[in-house]
Amino acid sequence: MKIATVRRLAAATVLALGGWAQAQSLQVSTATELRASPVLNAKSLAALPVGAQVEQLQQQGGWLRVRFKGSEGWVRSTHVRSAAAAAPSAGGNPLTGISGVFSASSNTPTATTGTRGLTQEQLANAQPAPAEVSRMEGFAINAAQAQQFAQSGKLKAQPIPAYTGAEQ
Amino acid sequence: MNTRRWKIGAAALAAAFLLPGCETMPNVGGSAGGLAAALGGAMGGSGNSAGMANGIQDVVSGASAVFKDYSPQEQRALGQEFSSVLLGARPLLRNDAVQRYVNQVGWWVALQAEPPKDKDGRDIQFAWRFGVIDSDAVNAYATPGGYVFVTVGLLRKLNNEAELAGVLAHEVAHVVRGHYLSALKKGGFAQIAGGIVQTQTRNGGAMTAAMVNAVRNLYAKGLDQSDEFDADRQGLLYAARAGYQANGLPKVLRMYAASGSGSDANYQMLFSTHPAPAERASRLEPLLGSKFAAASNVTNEARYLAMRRKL
Repeated sequence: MKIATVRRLAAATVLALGGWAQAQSLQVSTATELRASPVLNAKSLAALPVGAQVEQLQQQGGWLRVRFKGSEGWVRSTHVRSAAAAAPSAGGNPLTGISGVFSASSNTPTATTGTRGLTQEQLANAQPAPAEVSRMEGFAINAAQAQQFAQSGKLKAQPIPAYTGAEQ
Repeated sequence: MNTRRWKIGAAALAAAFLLPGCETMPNVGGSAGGLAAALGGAMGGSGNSAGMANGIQDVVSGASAVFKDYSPQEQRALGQEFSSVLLGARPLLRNDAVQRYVNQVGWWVALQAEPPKDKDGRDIQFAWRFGVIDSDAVNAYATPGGYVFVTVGLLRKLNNEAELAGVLAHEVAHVVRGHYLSALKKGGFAQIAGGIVQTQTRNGGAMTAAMVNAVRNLYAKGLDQSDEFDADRQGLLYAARAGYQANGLPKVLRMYAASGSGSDANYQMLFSTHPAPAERASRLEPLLGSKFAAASNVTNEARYLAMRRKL
């Protein structure tokens, strides 16, 4: 019962997140892995070298389910591009990864990001930056200053009660 | 000194190789385990206590319970370290005027939230810090202890201050409702969070590789979907209390639904860590005509657009 509900929810989520895309030929733009499920640390099924051809079967979030040499698995959508767009390659550097990849496909903004993106890959490589946290203190304000700001914007606090749980 | 630096480098390198297998932190990193062990059982090793089984109980009493696990100072320490990792992915925007503006809107909105209680029943007063991350991605984050972030990419997509207030109010709700603290607990990160809390005093200020990984994983996975819906409802409330037009947040969610997709790298994180935006909007919209029917109508569009031109 519970499991069935969860499955139905999962299926609905898949549809909501992108549904089924028609099969499309893609080329790997940065060396990566074909993974068993759409999570960064899922089991690797095969290595995908730059230039490898894969066929897109489905899309879910930032992941694509693809077929590669007979096996099916998942690859990050940011690590592939359409085979047609890939033709005059600007040569992303598979060793340095991100910046090379993104600059190589910067003329297709809907499918990629600038180097100023904040993707799961960038997060996965993030090293602590304590100096940036300290920097935030320089912009800190206090409650009194916030009230002044509200006043200058003609904002008046509204006495709206908390939810009671009886709302629809 | 040199040796120490080398060691940190080596740990970071190890982290890079360990990452694919690091989903459950407590299995990794002996040094972090040692720190956590020093804290004893106070942090609670797992989130599977009997009272957490019921979903509703979980949302109602679970939220207040997590604030008893960490003192306000400990929440602050977690927030600082989490922020450090987030800002390691992308730095702050170098624009003081914009940073200050977002702090002003954010603080005003945060003043409208009911503060949670600490273990002694005292209100927790957060020293709110808002930051604009220099990223084209469209997203917003919060940490325990009152740090909130929005990206430049998101600010560019918004049209007025009421919309920004709605986004910030949603993040404020994550903080005051303890959503990140409960995600730590449920994700099995409680022990390593104990280590992070101790980092600033006992570990010379440097997080271990396992700690950094835990934070990355927390943000890559996101929060419970039910907590996202909860933050939407509370966000709607705080922004309306702040005197803004109530439909700011629903409008932003409709914008996500219309212009974003999970395959667009700039929306990838937002879509993979949140429920579908149209669903989120449709849960809020009925409230606009009922509970918030008499809300004020201020959007401060001109003030917002003046700021946006500086981006």
